[in-house]
Amino acid sequence: MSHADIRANLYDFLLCELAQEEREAIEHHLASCGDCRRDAETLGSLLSEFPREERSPNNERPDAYWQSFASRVEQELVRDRRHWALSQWASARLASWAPTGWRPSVALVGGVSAIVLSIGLWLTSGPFSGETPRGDAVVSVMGVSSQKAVEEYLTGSRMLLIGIANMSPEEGKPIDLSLERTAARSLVRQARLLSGEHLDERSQELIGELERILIELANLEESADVPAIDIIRTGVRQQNLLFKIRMAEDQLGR
Amino acid sequence: MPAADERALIDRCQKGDHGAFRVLVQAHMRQVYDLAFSFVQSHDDADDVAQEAFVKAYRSISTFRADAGFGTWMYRIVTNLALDRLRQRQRMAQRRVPLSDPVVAQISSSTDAVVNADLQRQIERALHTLPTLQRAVVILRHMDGLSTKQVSGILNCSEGTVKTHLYRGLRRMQKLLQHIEEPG
Repeated sequence: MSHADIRANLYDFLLCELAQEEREAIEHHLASCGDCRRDAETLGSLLSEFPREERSPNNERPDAYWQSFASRVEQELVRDRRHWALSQWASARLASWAPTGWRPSVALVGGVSAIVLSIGLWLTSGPFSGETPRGDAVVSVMGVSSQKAVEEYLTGSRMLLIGIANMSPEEGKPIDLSLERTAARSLVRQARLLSGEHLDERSQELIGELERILIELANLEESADVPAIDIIRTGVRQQNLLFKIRMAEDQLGR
Repeated sequence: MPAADERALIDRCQKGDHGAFRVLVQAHMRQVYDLAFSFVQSHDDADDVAQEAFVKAYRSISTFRADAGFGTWMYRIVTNLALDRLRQRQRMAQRRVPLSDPVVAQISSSTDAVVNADLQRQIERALHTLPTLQRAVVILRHMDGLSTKQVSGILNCSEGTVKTHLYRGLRRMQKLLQHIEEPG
């Protein structure tokens, strides 16, 4: 065994989780190698101070939390399915309405309005209305192809980021970002749903990059200042996100 | 839950039986929560991660294959989500508080507390300063007591890589703790 092999197996050795033969090989090595022996002593000392945890943080939650846990997961599933379906519908309508040579700011307002409308529709017809979720909603959502879903996610992200890039706020004055934050949250949720789909590596990477910047946008204060907007803009620029979106859209056959 | 029962539930889930998924959630929710908490060290975040993990599992249940147990598969989803959350936290923290040496600064910034605090808290702090993968391996292998093979399945890497990350992670923790004990 090499020194590296010995070190890689020290943990199992110290916890007596090795087969007899491997254990003897390590003991033999330690008897003649001072460096590895010191490593073993150091690691043993740490492990004695850092034993395997017996803590079960789930016990710190009350029983009521666990009794409702599965129901809350189901509610979240229903919410996701409705949101996903409605945002797809809104994006499709928006794409069909957008004239050639559309202005990004107009498209942004339209996009955000469609998303807000979607949320409104969901609130009036969703789980809070008392309606029982129907199983067929799952079928209709799961039937939509991954490619279509990615295209719509990219379109929404592009419109939002172009809107942010084209903002011309006055220095020192707060900017109302409530609509942008709502749109960003909706897109983050879409990204999370997409993470369960079978996507190519490049799309996954881009969706991950966009998700990070959208989370930052969603977490901005409602009344943000210019430096806060600049952080987002810098992130978009440094990661070349708009270019990457266009490339991905081209690849998806736009 | 016996493996055959679990397999039957998964089959039913894959055919769209929501009730079967509910049973799976109830069977695994506590372990999933504990694992999420091991990473994020906050009940609110553990709640978010655990719920998100089940939502993600439901959406991907059609792709689940029986080559790994449902529990291991859930562990993989939770680990990925928890690591994502930690990365997000790290990025936000980096933007808010620029530090020349985050590891040393984080520990030495509270020297008085370090001297008086109990060792277990210092160990936890050292654990959470480890690079992401090393931390994941230490949590899964050492704290949760999973086997090297299980951890390699969850993190999608070889058993040798798990062992190396574990060794390096523990060594690094030991050095960080040494730094606390011998300031300056």
